[in-house]
Amino acid sequence: MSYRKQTEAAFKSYLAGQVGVPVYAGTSDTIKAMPCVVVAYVGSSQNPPNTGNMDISLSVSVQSEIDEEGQPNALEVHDELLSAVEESLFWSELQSINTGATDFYIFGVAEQSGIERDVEGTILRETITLTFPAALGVTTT
Amino acid sequence: MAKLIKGQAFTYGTKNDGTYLTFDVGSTGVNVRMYATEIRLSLESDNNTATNGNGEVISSCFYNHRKILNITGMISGTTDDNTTAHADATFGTVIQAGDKLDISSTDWAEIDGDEFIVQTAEKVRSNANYAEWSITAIEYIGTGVANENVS
Repeated sequence: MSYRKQTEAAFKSYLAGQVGVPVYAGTSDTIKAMPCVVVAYVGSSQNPPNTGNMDISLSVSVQSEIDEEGQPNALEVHDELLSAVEESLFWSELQSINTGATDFYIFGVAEQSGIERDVEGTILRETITLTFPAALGVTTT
Repeated sequence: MAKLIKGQAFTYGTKNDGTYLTFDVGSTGVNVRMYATEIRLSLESDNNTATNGNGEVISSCFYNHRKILNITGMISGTTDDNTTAHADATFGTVIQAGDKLDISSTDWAEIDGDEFIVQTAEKVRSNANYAEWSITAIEYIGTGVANENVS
């Protein structure tokens, strides 16, 4: 399985256990239920050379539909969800991903940036971007 | 068709079985697999010169020939035990100045199978980077000096 598939699958599984909304991985052929979380592999580069280890860039977006005729208090629910996702991505919490996904190992978070906000119609999207070194086929013990 | 040459051949990289070195080090000879970011081999000696009445060098004598090996790299798991626990345990190997360092590098005959003595060893951990070892070791290669005599 590719780094893209494995990374998105690991984060989808991890975040699904942290938040009570649907989590989608990358490009999805299903209609998203709002609010939701979308994890998408942005890209990667091999580091160090000739090892197979990758420095991966991954975006995690919280998406909600903010509409007067939609769910009441949608913005408040969105903010609570964003807070939960943000906390889940701090290393003190995120390191537990290594025990859940044995074929995918994260050494640590090198960079965490965001939260970037953009609005498209009634959809509010806030994105956190992580950069981290990772390896496939590595386990803790 | 004429042969088109747009590039040059060079020897490239650390070039040892895919950049990995193996060596035994420490008082108990722990086997270490290192991803070497740099391997530096220096050939040194001491020398004395004789001069004539005008101060010109007329003779130079070289002795105490030795190899100085500098290796820097990350400690990795092995093909049999590719776990972070194994890499962490190996990283914790106690190294003292004076310990033997028996190295294997099939692509570099000048260091392959040699037995060096550790002069200095440094372990480095830094945030957002893989942890590294940096070792400087020496092997005397003068006539009449066998490896077993300098251990």
